[in-house]
Amino acid sequence: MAVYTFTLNGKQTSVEVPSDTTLLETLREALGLTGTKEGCGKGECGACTVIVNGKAANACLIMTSQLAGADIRTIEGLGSDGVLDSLQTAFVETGAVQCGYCTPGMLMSARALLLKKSSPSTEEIRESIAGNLCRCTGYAKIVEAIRKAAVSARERGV
Amino acid sequence: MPGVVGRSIPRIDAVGKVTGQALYASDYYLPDMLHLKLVRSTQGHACVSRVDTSALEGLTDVYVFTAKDVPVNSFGQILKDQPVLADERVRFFGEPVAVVAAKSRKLAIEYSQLVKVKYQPLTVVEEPEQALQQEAPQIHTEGNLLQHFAFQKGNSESALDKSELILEDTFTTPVVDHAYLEPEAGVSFLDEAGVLNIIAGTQNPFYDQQEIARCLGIPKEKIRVRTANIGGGFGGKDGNTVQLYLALATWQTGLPARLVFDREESLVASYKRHAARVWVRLGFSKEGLITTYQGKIYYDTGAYAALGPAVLGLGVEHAAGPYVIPNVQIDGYLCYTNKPPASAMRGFGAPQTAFATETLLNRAAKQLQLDPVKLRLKNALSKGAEGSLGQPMNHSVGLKEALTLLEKSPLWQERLQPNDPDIGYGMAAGFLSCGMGKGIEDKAKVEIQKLPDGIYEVRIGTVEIGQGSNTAFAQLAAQALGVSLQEIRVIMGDTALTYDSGSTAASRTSYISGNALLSAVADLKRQEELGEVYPKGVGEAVFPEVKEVNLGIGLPHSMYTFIAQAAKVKVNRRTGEVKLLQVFAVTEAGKIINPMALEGQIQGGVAMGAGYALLEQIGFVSGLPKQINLSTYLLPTSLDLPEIETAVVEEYEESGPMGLKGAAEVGTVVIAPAIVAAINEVIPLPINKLPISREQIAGYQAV
Repeated sequence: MAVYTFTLNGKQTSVEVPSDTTLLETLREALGLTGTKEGCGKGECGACTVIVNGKAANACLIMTSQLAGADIRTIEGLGSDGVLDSLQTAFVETGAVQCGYCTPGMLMSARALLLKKSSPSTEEIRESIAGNLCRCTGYAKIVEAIRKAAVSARERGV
Repeated sequence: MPGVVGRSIPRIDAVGKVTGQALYASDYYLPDMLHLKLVRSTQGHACVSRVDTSALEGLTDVYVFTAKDVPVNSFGQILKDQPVLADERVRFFGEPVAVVAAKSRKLAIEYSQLVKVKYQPLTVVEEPEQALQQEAPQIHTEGNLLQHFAFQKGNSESALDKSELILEDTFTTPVVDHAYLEPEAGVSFLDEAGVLNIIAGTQNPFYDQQEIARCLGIPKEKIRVRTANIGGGFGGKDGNTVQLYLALATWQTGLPARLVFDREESLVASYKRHAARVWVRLGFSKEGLITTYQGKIYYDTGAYAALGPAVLGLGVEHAAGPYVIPNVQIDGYLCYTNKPPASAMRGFGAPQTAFATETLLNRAAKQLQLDPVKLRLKNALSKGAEGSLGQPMNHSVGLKEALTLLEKSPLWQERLQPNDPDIGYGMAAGFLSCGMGKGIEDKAKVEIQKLPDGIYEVRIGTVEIGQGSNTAFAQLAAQALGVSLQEIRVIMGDTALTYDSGSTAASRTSYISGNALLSAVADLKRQEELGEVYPKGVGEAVFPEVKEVNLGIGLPHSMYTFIAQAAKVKVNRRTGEVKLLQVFAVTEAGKIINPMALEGQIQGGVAMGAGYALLEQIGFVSGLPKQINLSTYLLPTSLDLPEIETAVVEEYEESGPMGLKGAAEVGTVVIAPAIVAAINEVIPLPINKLPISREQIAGYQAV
């Protein structure tokens, strides 16, 4: 066991876990943040996507021991004080959610894209979520929701 | 509130899901819980001579359970032919043999590897053809033919003699997986009253409760099964996945337990879609009327029956398509093989036979020099017509309208002015029954109560698996009560709080629970008029049955949903790659309660059908699966799927709640033959096998 310290959803956080613990296990089991989902545990489905230092990453492939000082954002850190983030709002209103299991990872990939590029093309949107599998929606409404969120953020000058 | 029904309203659970607050079965971590790991067969077919657990003896905090710990070691929805834990024999690779329980997931995995199972391999039965040979090893004592269904109408031989055009061919489809993003998952614990609680991703908690009671000898009133948020079902969570193992561990130890399959277990050993081999012969008159359908249908149900007999039934029922056909002859065979059990999967037996029939119809259109839409319009079922099994179409039938909408669509119009020789357009039509079918209990009971906080609580026994039925029910209740959606709370799928209303399957949920809900609202209003301050209404509904025809259990149905779908593809003749460029999908499902939700169901169904057409399969060699992860079992990604445009033919089904019919499955049924037809506009290569082979396309040489 060792103690690892990083910034999680804007707060300095320390956890004591064995050195072979993945970030996904740390989030879900040590910190009780079950919004990040496990779909395969091998980096093949994207359900566990979080944002590490501004980039989308599969939490199942990262060891917690690699994260000293990192800035980590999970689904629980999207939006603030009960107010939904523009992507979350767009997902709700567009019908981009069905079973919802891919949704947290999908939202984090989309947020990582919008952090880097405020006016992505449809191709860029599709590429940004190409590692996030969804079995319910056919991606149509997810792509539409990300497009809408990008537009609304631009209109608000965010 | 008036106007709630028919509007695109966001899902009532969407905010919980986008914030990560919604709890799924795999999100429950209970204090001091055991983590379970199943020891699974490493053989496709073998006698088990010994299960050696001695390596675990003397270790603390580890438990192991084998067949001898299960009092009644057999389960199954239709036949009790599947052991909870294999005893003397294993019949598929991945079949559970023992359960190991330990204090952490890692320890459970480590200990499970110490259980040594000694096998004596038997000959593996790989395909139905082999299963039916006399010298084939018998997978079950009753033989390898689980079911034969024969149907005849008119005189197909003499009708063929008079036909202008006769086409026939044999088509095959693979084993595929539901591949929901959340694998099979659940937790269990004993509450203060000593009741065994299971929270699981399941499509039928009441069935689970019964099987747990029967197999483990626990009184039914001591078992509560409920659903959490479920990360996709599509039929694959209808039956036992984790439930019996959780119940066994918690009942024996008194400790809470958690069991979540890893992706490999889910792909290798959970329920599957039936692989099929379908031979079809069609006869046509000069004008393009279908005179005859003949079919021989072989479905591979794997090692155990599960819902296989019902799936074959639907395969047969939908085989001839949504057309008026006077002469029909069908033989359907359901065979055991040494593969994982095939059971329900979205479309439930219909996509396999639809691929064969619709592909032949498209070939016929070409030979008859008819537009494929026109050919279908000539033959399409309409209200009052007789289906291929003699069943009357006494409900809303909007197929012709759907075909007409498709014909007028920009996608289909574009086909008339082709400008790229590598781009092709194709279409297909289809239908899917709603309800369990003739002779199978199909009813629901719903309760609605006004609570002191002013909220109306609706309690429904069917399950929300992601399809959006919870939101449809809230809309129906709000509309019927004349209140806002915020005043409705929906509780679903809990054996302690809701009534047994059967499985969430068969495109029946919104219809049957919706009708029961409206009847409950009427009852509540009566109580209210009598001056009841907190009135409670109870309502029941029974699915209508066909009166005129009885073809045995489950056949036929009294109601169908209809589709017409078109695809545009680009074919790379050199690499064989097929790029799906556009889809237009028309649906007739009665009154649409929530257009946005319906569109999502159709888009998702098309996506699943596109995967079936172009990517997905689990192949087996001597009973061992070749695709065991998501790097080899390929699902469509956001880069593989195009814009999927949808349209509806709005009808009103008189018997349905506020006019609706079921629509969650039908979208999957015919996109594969539409894609095949589109490819065939580019190259006239006969495509008889799914998934469509790139090698076959790349290897095609124009004559």
